[in-house]
Parts: sequence; structure tokens; C-alpha cells
Amino acid sequence: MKRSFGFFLLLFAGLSLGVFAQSKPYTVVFYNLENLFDTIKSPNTYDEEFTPKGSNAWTGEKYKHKLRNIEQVFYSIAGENKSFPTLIGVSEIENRSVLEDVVSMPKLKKANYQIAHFDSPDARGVDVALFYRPDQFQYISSEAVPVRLASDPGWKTRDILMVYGTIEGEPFFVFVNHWPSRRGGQQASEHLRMLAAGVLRHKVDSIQGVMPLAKVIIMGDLNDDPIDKSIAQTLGAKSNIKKLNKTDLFNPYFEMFKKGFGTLAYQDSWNLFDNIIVNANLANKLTGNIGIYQAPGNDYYGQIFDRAFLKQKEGQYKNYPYRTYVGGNFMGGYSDHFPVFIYLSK
Amino acid sequence: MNKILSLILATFLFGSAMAQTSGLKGRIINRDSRNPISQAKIKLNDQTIQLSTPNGDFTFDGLEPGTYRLIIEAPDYQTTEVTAKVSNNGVTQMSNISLSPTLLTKDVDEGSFSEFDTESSNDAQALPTTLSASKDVYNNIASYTFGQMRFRPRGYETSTEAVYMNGVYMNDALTGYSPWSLWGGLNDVTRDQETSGSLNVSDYGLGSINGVTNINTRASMIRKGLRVGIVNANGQYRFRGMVTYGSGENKDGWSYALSLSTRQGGNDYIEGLYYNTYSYYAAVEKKINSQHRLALTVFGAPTERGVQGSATQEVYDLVGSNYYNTNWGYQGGTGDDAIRNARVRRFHEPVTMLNYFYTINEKSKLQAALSYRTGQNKYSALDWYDAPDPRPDYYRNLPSYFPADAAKRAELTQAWKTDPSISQVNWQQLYDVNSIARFLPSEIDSIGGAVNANTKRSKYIIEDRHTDQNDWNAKIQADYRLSPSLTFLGGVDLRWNKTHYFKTVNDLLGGDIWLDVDQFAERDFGSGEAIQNNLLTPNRVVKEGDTYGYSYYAHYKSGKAWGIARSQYKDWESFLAAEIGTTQFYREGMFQKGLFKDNSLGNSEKQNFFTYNIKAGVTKKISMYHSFSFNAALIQNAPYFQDGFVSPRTRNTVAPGLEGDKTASFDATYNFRFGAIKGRVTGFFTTIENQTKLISFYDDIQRTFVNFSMWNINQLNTGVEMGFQAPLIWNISMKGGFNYGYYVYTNNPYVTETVDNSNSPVDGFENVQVYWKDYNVSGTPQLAGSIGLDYRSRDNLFLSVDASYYDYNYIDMNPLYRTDAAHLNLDESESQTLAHQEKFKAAFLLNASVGKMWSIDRKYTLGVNLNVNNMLNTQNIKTGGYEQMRLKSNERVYQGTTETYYSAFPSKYFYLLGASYYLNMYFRF
Repeated sequence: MKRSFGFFLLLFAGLSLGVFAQSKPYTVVFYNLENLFDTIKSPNTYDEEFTPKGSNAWTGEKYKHKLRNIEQVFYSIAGENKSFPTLIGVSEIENRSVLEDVVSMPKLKKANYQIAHFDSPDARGVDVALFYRPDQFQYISSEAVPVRLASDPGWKTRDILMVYGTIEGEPFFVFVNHWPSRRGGQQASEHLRMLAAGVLRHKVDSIQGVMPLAKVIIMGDLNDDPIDKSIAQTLGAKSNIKKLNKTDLFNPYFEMFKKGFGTLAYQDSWNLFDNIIVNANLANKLTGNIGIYQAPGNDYYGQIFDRAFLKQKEGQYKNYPYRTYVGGNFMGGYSDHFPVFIYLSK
Repeated sequence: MNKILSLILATFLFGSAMAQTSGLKGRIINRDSRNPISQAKIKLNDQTIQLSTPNGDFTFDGLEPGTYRLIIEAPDYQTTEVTAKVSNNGVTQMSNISLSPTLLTKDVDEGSFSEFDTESSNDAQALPTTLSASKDVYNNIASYTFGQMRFRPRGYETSTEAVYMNGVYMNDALTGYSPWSLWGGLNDVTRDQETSGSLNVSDYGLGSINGVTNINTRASMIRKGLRVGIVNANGQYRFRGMVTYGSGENKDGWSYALSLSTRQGGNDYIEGLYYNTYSYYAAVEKKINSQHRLALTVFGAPTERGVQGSATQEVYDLVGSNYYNTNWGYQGGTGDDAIRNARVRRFHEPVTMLNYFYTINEKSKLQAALSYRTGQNKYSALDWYDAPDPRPDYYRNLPSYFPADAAKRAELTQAWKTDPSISQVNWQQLYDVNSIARFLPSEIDSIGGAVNANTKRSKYIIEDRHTDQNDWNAKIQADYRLSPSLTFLGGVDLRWNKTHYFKTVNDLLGGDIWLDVDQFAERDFGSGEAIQNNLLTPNRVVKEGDTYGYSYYAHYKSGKAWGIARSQYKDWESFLAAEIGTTQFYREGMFQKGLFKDNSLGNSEKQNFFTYNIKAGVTKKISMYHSFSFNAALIQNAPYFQDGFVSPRTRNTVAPGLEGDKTASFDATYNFRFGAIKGRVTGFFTTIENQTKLISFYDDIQRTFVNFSMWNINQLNTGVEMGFQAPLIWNISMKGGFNYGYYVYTNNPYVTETVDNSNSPVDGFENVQVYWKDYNVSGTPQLAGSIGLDYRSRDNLFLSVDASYYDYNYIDMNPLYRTDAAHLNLDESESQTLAHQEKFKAAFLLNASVGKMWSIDRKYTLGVNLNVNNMLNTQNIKTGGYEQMRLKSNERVYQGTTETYYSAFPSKYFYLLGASYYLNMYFRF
């Protein structure tokens, strides 16, 4: 009798743990880290600014400060539902070494994040990468999808990172992007982001063509707002989750942007360049069990992590994202972008 | 054939030789312990396999350049995949590859987030706070484009714009004037500005009805690096040089910043105008630790500036230029070097400021500040005794003064056109008069030993009118964030001000001494005590640098306690703010004036005022495309010291109706975005009641100096302002701003005219009404509109052009013209003419600018800007003007009796400069 009670207790504990574990949604994060550079000069890229003798006087101490900030952000997002994010896409990182340093931070170490990263052809030498939790995401393969301009072979931009793996046996394709910037003006540079959007759309289409069960997550700093041509038309990320065709993409940030939300600010207006977009399989749970999940009390599927500590507290740029550098002065902040995240759940 | 073979061979050999030197090496470590992992299996491109050494190292030699995939496996560790690029110059050193242990626990999350247990869950996502790093498009146009026409936002006095520096309120304590000239020329270090809209509150205090600006000049806020800039211009000064250095924060938490600048020369239009100014700034800041900061900032702008005088249209027409300046004359020559301006402002009022910041925790902070302003501020002018008015455009010196004498008119007209000794200050003549003027024997007796029969008595001198301030500010402020949606801030601001008003002799103009007596009193009373400016030192003889005429102190102190609550919830933003305070001031006379020997020396009665300010605002954000804001304010101000006394130069008599004005203001804003077109429309409605005004002037009718005290002046400022910007094509965007205002007086205030010599009201001018109702508030065009195009190229070339239009700008009124007494014996049309308020002609302006910025090696920045204002070179645009404080007394025979009637004196005007340019070059590294 005593034994069976103990057994029952154990069973109950196990069940509740299981239920509890299952009820926790998977978190998918994207964060532009705003120039996460190590302090060493690289031979082939322009990174003098980020060396101890460079214009930013980028010392080991400042680098560590930045790492601690990043650790705090990811750990706080994890604290939202008390679970380490399953997937974290990042941009503006210099190399694999800085990624190693991020995942080795004390509060993140426990999640055993693995790194998917390719060295990308970018003048400043900044890349995108994906961290994944190996206990939740079973990595299969990865690929650097190049974005090239036929008319100008010398033109360089960052590759799109594609990572293929499974969650609970369901196939996932994750794309991490950092599309060409608005340098030279939004209109004048728009064709470059449309180019990247086209490359991505083509890739997504071919995957969905051969693997109809595939679940697709597109994330990144797209340097355009959800309503802009590159995202809304070329990529075709739609706003209404209820009106999706089988091969459509859903952008949870579309409606948020129209409401007035943003992830970075320029000239006193908010932009929402950081998007996480999913395909109809994930949006509408057309296949498998896992789908995008709206947290209770939240009006949107997308979330912007704009906690007070990530905002400038005083001065001219009050309420702007709290940056690492302003006007060449080290501010000790986080990034010029806010992180974004979505939940996936059964 | 051989050749081809050897080529192939060579290529192969060369290639393989290169391949031999290329490779990949790295180290495998344990992520947790950072110890090396030996015997890890490293698979290169799924083919070559290596095991790591006891140091965790591995090396692959002889690789072709390219991208490789490494799979690293070790027992009890996660299998890890790494892509690496092998370059063609040597062995590529990879960063350490850390392996994490295979999971022991099933759930890595368990027990990891206990610190979040106590934290309340995230509030429903609130929309981001409205940002205000820069002025919005309307405010930008209002300050830069409309600014050249002396446009004042919503028609308000400048004292309604609150200016703070590092959190300390800087507006002048005694006049409310905006304090920008204190740091004139220090543009590089005053760039960091936080602005709040008209009725909004700031993070440092409530402000008034015309926005709040806080300028951050702490050392750590100054852009790191060196910046050098040079300006050449022809519209204000000729040259500006500026150099600024900001250190940034060093590793011990110190930052410092320095800036020096100078502005020199005059402009192409107005003779006699010049700048001779220097500015300096030095600041140091110490971040003691992550919680405490201490900052010291010192700056000053020793300035000497020749000033322009206004003139009547008759004078402008006589000399054939609307840029005539009456204030200067040639001395000792006829070249530019010989130009001497009688009216020169000289000031140097250094400010020292100490700021302390204490970040208590993530939610609360404290700041304290102490600032001190001191120094000298003086404004020179001609003074004369028993001699003709030396100002060339004095009305008796003009042809129009001789309506019946055609020959005299012709002669004067000719002289005005050709003879600078007539049309400008005739310095030589002033020296000549001074060199021959002597005291009468009776005067020598009464003065005593200080003068004799040979003493040259200056009849003309240059005086300096001093306003030397000692201004202390202390403040303490706390900020507390109760939750992400609710913030409180509040503080106490204290101010002490002691300002010395006095006159000194700047230049005796060749004479030996000046006798300090009151010539107006002398005219009325002849001699005796009455004519003494200071009975403590009767018949005092003064020399250059000596104080004379008047000397008194303004004593001022105020204390204010304020609090602001801000909340942000979902798509709502709101604030509620209140301030209460007391202000006290009094006059302390240093001279015992002969005319008022019981009411001039020592302290006046202390004037105490209770003040309050209540503000509230709410913003509803419908979407990114539409939002609405409503703001309201109710403010009871204390009067300013300068309006507090009927004749502060002479006595302690307090001005009538002195209560301070009461302002009520409301505005409503609609922010819109249609596609890419962004903008706002704001309607505002403000009443300012119970204002007072004090004017002192020489009254030709009374033939004596008088003081004019007006009180109970009420006005209404209402209108609409709008701004928008819209991208067009090819990086060209359009922007526009528009203001339609209706600024009028809403009642008929009261006035009392007092004879300065007797403190008695002028007959018929005691408590009389001034018929000002429905007349316009002057000082700004009430209608202003601008439309412009901006272009910005990929490589930092900027072009912009804008056209603007202004109307409903009115002349500043002489209250006398609207009193019953002035309309004595006038028929209706004459009466209307006298009471009519001139509206200036509408103006159209075209401005353009071009700029280019180069970035050199990503280290240096070189930039050039050229602005051209008033490109159409229109030279007849009146920017301001005023009715002279004189009435012309005439006589005529009407129905057999001789009657006196009055007519207006011609008004004086200022004109906008013709085409002018401003070329700025800067270098930054």
C-alpha cells in the first residue's frame, strides 16, 4: 500500500511534469545584436572601429559588457515563459567566435545552444546565425543561400542562412535574414531588398513544393516594414491569419506595425524591420501538431520585447532602443533594435 | 604543345604549392569547464577524420581554399557541426569550438528561472511612447524658415518657452527672456536637446505654454572626437570659427569636453553692425560608479556686438536704403575703420553648473543641481546734457519738421543724401562741443573743488547701462517608475537673484568730467535738492568708469515644488502635472534721488506672489496612421521684476495692477499618416489675462519724461498649425508647414501716465482706458506658410529649396493713440487714422541650401553647407516696427476758435535683409 502510494505520487509527479513541460510553448526569437564584434582585427573585413585602438576603443571590458547584456536579454525572454528559447536567430555578429562566447555565458550555458553559422560576404563582415536547443530542435543540415546581383558581381550582401531540422519529428526550415540596408534612401535601395525577398521566396516555394509538410520560419532584420513591397509583395507575407492559402506566408507583425508598434526608431518614427514570418502549415496547423501560438492576454501572435531596460531612459533619445554607442560614445546599452519573438505550441 | 603542357604543369604545381600552405586548425573545449577535450573525432567534409590532441587541438593541412564542414563528435558531448572558410594564405586559425555535454536532465528549463517567479507577468503590450528626439516637421519649419521673419510660435512672447540646461531652468529671472545668448557660438556642445511640445511637460519641470527645451551639455553627452568648423556669411557676422573636443568616457569613468568659438564682423547690409565675440566651454564629468555621476560645466560668451537702430520710412527713403542704421557715425576718417557705433552691447556672464545624478535602482533616480550665473551685461548709449539731441534722425533734424520751409527742406534732403555728418552720428561735433563747454562760476562754487574754470564739461557722453546679475539656482528632483505603465517625477526648484542696475560713464568724448544731476528735474525745478541724482553725493563729478544716474538692486527669490505623473497603457498615453510656488522681489535703491528722497534709497516693500501651474494631456493612438492628443494648462504667473515698478531707476513706487498674468490654454492635435505622407494638424486656444506693461518715454506734450503703466491687458491667441512631409520620387521629398493665427486683445486695459519727476499722474491720464479691444497682438506674422523640396543622394549630397509666405504682421502699438485724450477735437476720419493699426505688407520668400558630406576612411568627416536666404533679394519686407511713443501736438482754427489736436508720429521699422548666404565647413574626426 505504501509502495503503491509512492508509485502513484511518482506517476502524478511525472504526469504533471510532462503536462507542464508540454504546455510550455517553444519560443522563437530574433535579435539584431548591433555589431557584436570581438576585439581582434580581421584581415579581410573592415572592423578597425571595433578594436581596442579603433575609433570605438572596443576593449575586452566593453565586449564582456555587451555579452552580459545579450545574456540578460535572452535570459529575460526565457523568463517570460520560464523556458529557454528553442531557436534564436541573430544578426550583426562578426564570426563564430563571438557566437561561442554568447552561448557560453553562464546563464545560457545550461541550454546547450548549438550554433549554425556561415561566414558571409559582407563588407563590414557581419553575419547572421542561429542558436538552437539540441534537446528540442534536431538539426539535420544547413545552407548559406546567396543573394547576388546579376548586374553587379562585385556587390556583396549577407547570405540567407537556412537551417533544416525537426521539432517533435515535424520538419522545420528556419531562415535567418539580414537584408540590404536602406543606405542611400528607402526608395533607391528597395530593389535590393526585393531581390533578397525574391531569392527567399523562391527557396521557400521549392521546399514547399517537394515537402508539403514542411514548416517554415523566416526571421530577420529585413530593413523594411511589413507593409513594404519587399515583404508584403515579393515575399508575400500576409497579415490575416484567417485568409491564408496552403502555400502562403503569415507575418504576425503586419497588424502590429499598422497599429503603431516598432522594433527600431528613426527620426522619431517607429519602424518594424525585425520580423518573424511563418508559413500556412505553422500558422493554421495544416499539418502536424505544432502551430503558432498566441499568449494569453496578448492581442497579437507576434511579440516585441521592449522592456524598460532596453530603452534609453533619458536625454534627447529617450525611449529609443538603448544602444551600445551613440555619437562615438560608449553608452553601455544593448542594441538599436528590440528583440522579437513568437511562440509555437501544440 | 609543350608550351601548353608546361603551362598546365606550372598551374598544377603552383596550385599544389599553395594548397600545401593552406589549412585549418582549431581547438575543442568543454563549454562548461573551458578545458580541452582530447580524442574528439573531427570529420572534415565527411571524409578525413582526425582526433584532437590532449590539448584539444587539431590541424588539417594541405587544403584547397574554400568552405569546409567539420563534424565534431565526442562521447558524452553534443555532436557539433561547424562551417569554416579556408583562405589561400596559410593555415586558418579557427576560434575555439566548445562542446556542451549531452543532456543529463530531460528538462534544461527546470529550476532555471526562479528569479522570475516574483515578477509580475508582462503587461499587455503597450504601444511605444511617442518619440521626440527632434522637432517635428512643423516646429522645424517654424523655427528655421519662419524664424527669419521673426515668427513666434502661436504668437507667444519668448518668455513662454522654457529653456533648461542639464535640468536647470535658465530663462532670465527678472524678464523671463530666453537665455540663448548666454551660450551663443557654442553650437557644437548645445546640440543635444530634448524638446517637448507646446503644452507638454518635460522630464525636468512643467514648462509654460510654448514648449520646453532641455540642453544637455554634460561632458559625457558631447560627441566624442575633434570637430573644427568655419563659417563665412554675410547676413549676420562675417566669420565664425569653432573647435570642439569631446573625450568620451575613459575607463576610469572620466569624460571631459572643451569648445572654443569666435564670431567676427558685420553684414553686407547694415553699416555699424558687428560681432566681436568669443565663447568658451569646459566640462568634466565623473562616473563614480554605475550609480553615481558628478558633472561640472563652465561656459561663457564674452560678447561685443554693435546694434542696429530702427528708423522712420522718411529716413529710409532719404538715404535710399531700408538698411540705414542711425546708431553710428564716422570718427577720424571716412573709411570702414572709422565707423563708430554708439550702441554696443557688451556682456560676459559665465555660468558654472554642478550636476549630480544618482541612479538608486532600475526604477528610481535622483538628481541635484546647483548653478551660478554672474558677470557683466551692459548696453551703451549716448547721453547728453543741455545740448541738442545728437541722434541724426531726431525728428527735428528731418526735412519733414519744416513743412512750411521749402528751402530748408531741400537743403536738408540734399544733406541727408550726401553728407554722412548729417545722416549719421556726427562724432566730431560732439567732441567739439565737449572741448569748449565750461562750468559757470556759480556752478563751480556749488560743485566745490572738483572743477574749475578750465574743466571741460562733457555735454555729450557715452553711457553704459548695466544689468549685472548674480543668479543662483538649486534643484533636486526624483524620478520613480512604479510600473512599466506609470512614472512619477517631482522636485523642488529654488532661485535667488540679485541684479545690479546702474549706469557708468563709458566715454567722456574728449571732455574732462560729467556732472551727475538730473537735467529733466533741473528744467522743471531749476536747482536745489531736486536735481540731484544722488543726495548722498550731491553735485558729484564723474569720470569714465564711474557710476552715475541711477543705481539699484533687484532682489528676487522664488521656490517651486512640482510633480508629474505619466502613464502609458495599451494605446493611451497621459500625464497630469502640478506646480506651486512663491516669488518675492523688491527693489533696493543705492542712490537717494533728490526728487524722491524718502522713496528712493533702501528697500521697497517686498512683493510676494503665489504661483501655480496645472497641466494635463492625453494621447490616444488609434493606429500607426492616426492618433489624437489633447493638452490643457492653467497657469498663474508672478509678474516680472522689470514690470514691477513705475520707475525703477528713480524710486520704490510699485506699478498699479501688479498681480501677475493668468494663462489658460488648450490644444488638440491630430497626427496622421496616409501612405507615406506624415504630418499633424493642431488647433490651439489660449487666453492670457491681467498682463501689465511699463513704458518710459519723453512726452512731447507734457515736455517731460513720463512713465506709462498699463494693466489688466487681456489677449487671445488662437489658431491652427499644420505640418506634413511626403516622399515623392528619386529621394526627393516634399514638406510643408502652415500657421494661421488670430492674436488679438480682448479688452480695453487701463493706463496711468505718471510724470517721472513728480510721481503724480498726468492730468486726464489717470486710470483711463486704452481702446485695444480687437486690435492685433504684434511681433509676429499671424499667417505663415511654407512648402519645400528636399533631396538627399546616396553619397550624402543634400539639396533643398523652400518658398514661404507671410501675412497679418502688425505694428507694435502706442497705447496713447487709443485713448480719449489723444482724440480730442478730431473728426471721425482723423480719429480712425490715429487709431489705425498698420498691417505690414505680405511677404514672399525663397530660400535654398546645398550641402555635401564626405566620409574619409570611415574615420574623418568633411562637410560643407551653403544656405541662401531671401534669394529673390526683396528689400522692402518689414519684419517689425513700432509706433513712436510721441504724439504730435497741432493747432488749428475751427469755427473761429483755435483748438489743439493731436496726430501720430511716423512709425519706425525693421526690414528683412536682402539675399544673404551662410557657408559652413566642418571637419570631424
